[in-house]
Amino acid sequence: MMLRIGAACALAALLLAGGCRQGGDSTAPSAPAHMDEEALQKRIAGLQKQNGQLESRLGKLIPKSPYIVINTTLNRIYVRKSGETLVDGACSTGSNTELVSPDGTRRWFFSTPRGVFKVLNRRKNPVWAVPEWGIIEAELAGEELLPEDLFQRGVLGKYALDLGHGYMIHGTLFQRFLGLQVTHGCVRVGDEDLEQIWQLTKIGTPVYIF
Amino acid sequence: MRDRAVRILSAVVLILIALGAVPSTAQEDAPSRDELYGEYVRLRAVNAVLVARLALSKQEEPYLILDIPEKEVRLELQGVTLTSVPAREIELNRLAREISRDTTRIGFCEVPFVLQQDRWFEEVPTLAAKDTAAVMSSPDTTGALAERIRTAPVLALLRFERNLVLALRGEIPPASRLERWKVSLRRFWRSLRSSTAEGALRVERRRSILIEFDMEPAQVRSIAPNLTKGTKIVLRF
Repeated sequence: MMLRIGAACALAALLLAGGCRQGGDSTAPSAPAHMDEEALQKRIAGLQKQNGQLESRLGKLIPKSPYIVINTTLNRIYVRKSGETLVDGACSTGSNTELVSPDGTRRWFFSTPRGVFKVLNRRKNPVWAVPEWGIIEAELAGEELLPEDLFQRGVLGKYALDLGHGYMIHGTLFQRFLGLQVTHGCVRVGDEDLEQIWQLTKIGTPVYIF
Repeated sequence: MRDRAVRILSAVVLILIALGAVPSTAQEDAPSRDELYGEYVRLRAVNAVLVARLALSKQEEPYLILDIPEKEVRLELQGVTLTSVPAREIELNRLAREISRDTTRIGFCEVPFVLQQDRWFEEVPTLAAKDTAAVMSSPDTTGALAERIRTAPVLALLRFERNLVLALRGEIPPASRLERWKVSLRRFWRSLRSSTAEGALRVERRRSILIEFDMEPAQVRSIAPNLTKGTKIVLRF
């Protein structure tokens, strides 16, 4: 009995030793004949240096100060700095719906644009200047409108960061819709996250939307 | 007698184990020519990705990095990582495996691949159409619809130049063995029709260099809309 166990152990060890070597040989590519060890070492050193330089150049592309990243599919907003995420919050982005004016002559498609933007302006207690589509959507076209109908306070929350072409990152009265695609293209953020975003950003902060 | 035989065999076992260990220690001290070549090949592959990333970072459009050794898909824009998604599983078909092993074809991945055609398969094809109409009349304010769309199985089949096809498959993995078996059976049944996701994959497995990435459905949905005709990807085997 003991003899059999011993023999089995010996056989297993033999297979194990042979198997490991075979495994090692099969994964390693075999060097072409014209490359000797010295030449390979030189090339490796050259590549290591070149790769280091390339990594350094790529590293310089990442903004040194905090920057904003917005995922329009998952409706998340992030503020990152040097690979660290400083803010990770829910937001609302464009509903991807279309509005047609009653006479059928004007159309608006409400989506959040993708690409690289910059914070062009920062506003405290912003006032929303209602655009034409806002009036049509509220079915107020043709009505006599008061200044407070056209310039609304509070609807954009405490702060607004302008990204250009009417798009903004701003607060909202509709916090329960955070995480959903319900906006006219702006990015709505919850109060706490907006406060942090306001503190961490400045005019010129890059905004990456995808 | 028996004890002696056991002792001899034990000694043999120890010697064999020691023999197996000795060459590897020696190899660690001085790398062989093949090992040096292996390192050179690895560094060249890394170099190719870095060169391509640097070139693509000058563009206005996002680009994708498929890092097979790291099992990761990364969406970048101007050198900034927008999202980095770990793949649950990566499958290479026969052609892709051949290219990944053939070190003489290292230049194959040096130039980014350009997206030529994208096909989109939803497990529930009517869901998207129905939702579009629903969203038009009243936005999804409960989030239930968004959740259904996010978690529904999806396949983005992306055809690039040089016969490369990338399949981003988003599925919630089946919980039980029975579920897995059902999924396999359903996949096989669907693969018989080329209009289905499985059928399209079956065709591509035969004729293209196919790389399949398994990930969360929501992750496929957040990456794939950024990949339009002309988008470039960098591949690292």
